[in-house]
Amino acid sequence: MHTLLEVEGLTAGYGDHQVLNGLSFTMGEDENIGLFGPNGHGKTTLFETISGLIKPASGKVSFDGRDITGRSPRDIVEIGLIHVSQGNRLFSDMMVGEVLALGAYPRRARARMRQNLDMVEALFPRLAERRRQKCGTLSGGERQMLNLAVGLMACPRLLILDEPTLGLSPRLKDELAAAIARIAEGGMPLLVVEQDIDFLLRLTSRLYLVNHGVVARTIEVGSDSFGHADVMKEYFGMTGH
Amino acid sequence: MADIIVSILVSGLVLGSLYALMASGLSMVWTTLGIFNFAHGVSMTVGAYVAYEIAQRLGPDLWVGYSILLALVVMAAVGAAFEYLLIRPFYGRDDMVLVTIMTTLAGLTFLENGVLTIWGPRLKQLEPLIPGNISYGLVNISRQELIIVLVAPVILLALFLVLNHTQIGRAIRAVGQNQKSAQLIGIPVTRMFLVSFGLAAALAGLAGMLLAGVRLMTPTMGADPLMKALIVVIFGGLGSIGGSIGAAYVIGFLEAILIFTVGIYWTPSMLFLLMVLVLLFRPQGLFGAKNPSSL
Repeated sequence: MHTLLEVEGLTAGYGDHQVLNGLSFTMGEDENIGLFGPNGHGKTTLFETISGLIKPASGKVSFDGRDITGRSPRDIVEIGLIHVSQGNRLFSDMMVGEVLALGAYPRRARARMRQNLDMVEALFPRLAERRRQKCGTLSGGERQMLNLAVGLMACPRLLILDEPTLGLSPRLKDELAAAIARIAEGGMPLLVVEQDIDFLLRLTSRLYLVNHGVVARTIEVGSDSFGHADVMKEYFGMTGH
Repeated sequence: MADIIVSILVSGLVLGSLYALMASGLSMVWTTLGIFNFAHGVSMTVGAYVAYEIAQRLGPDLWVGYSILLALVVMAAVGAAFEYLLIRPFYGRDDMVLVTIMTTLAGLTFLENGVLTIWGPRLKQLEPLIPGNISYGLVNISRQELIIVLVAPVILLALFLVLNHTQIGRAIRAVGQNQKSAQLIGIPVTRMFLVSFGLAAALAGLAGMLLAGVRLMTPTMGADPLMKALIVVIFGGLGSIGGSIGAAYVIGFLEAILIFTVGIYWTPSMLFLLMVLVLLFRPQGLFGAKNPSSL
């Protein structure tokens, strides 16, 4: 299988505080990958390093065979690697319609702005209703829909989602999960961080457990060796499931 | 009495137009970068002198409008260079706001003395775009002032349309509201800073070039308009470019009325008093935009 994203021995952090300690994993073109693990062990840092917000201290990130280590966020967006960050508040004083239009800022997305807008408004009809409403007035669920929609406006070749259903009510969570499943069915490769293991098990073909800034374990979804119950027992035993 | 009211109205409109050109740029830089540019007033001065120099070189046969157009391009470059040299090195520092107060003040001193060194202290004037006066009933106004009153709203409307209905305009506003989100969309953040500095300098320069057609220019001609623009920006609400433009006209009319009633010496003090009162009772400004705390 053709490799879409390859991360090799990545170390990165904030100032003197190193969070990633030589993290490696690969992702093929036709698969969705899930990342999970305890908070504060590097999942968000990993995404921010992949998307260029943080410069890695060492290691390598390749996308579609190209070395993108240390490139600017703008370059990485232009290549088609789109990071939908956790709890992104977007632009509170701008209208939903404006933010969607801005999502088509990358050069490669401009020509397809119209089609993409129709596509995201079909996916999230609520955003179409709120086109003239300011972002700052959206509910948490609507804002999260807008985040995903903005990512899709950029014509992604790989969408990386950082806890897309964090903090949402169960009903909204289901709605978002369904939308993400539809995005995946459309053939979009997804790399997803989530705490909701059920969601990851349905969506992805492989899970990586991130612990202490490295991939501590690889789990093939569907193989009998490691199922839901094991994951729960080992890492989420105390969350009340 | 009617003639007095008319002349106050005319003078208020002219002042309001100039302040609107000044304050919109100051406000735009504030909303995008979160810094106050003390050298914004001197952009006005430099603009006037650059247009004067270009007009001198092109000769008196050529219409001054061409010199102004050329000077606007030069001013956009000056603004961009200013950002590149004096602001960019300090992005990402915790004390950036403080440091840029010092660097923009340094830029102000440098440019003001540069103007003095290059062009000397002698008073100069730029040709008006169209010479002569217009009298219509009680209204007596120079054609240049009429141009100022007409051109400023057109330019500001254009600015409004660019900021609200083009990708680059939306990108400039987005960068002011959330840099990280802007980066993740692929907006080149520092380039937007460069563009807004260039645009602001061109707007201030235009105010100077237009003013130099009705008043004599001096190396310190930008100091007073900077103060007024500061009052305007606070009056209109920090972070709201539209509010600044509205407030510019309010302050212009107030100044015209104050000059007539309390005289030219007390007018600045009264305006500052007003600013303090606004800060006390309506800190979000008259037109009520919220503070850009997201910066």
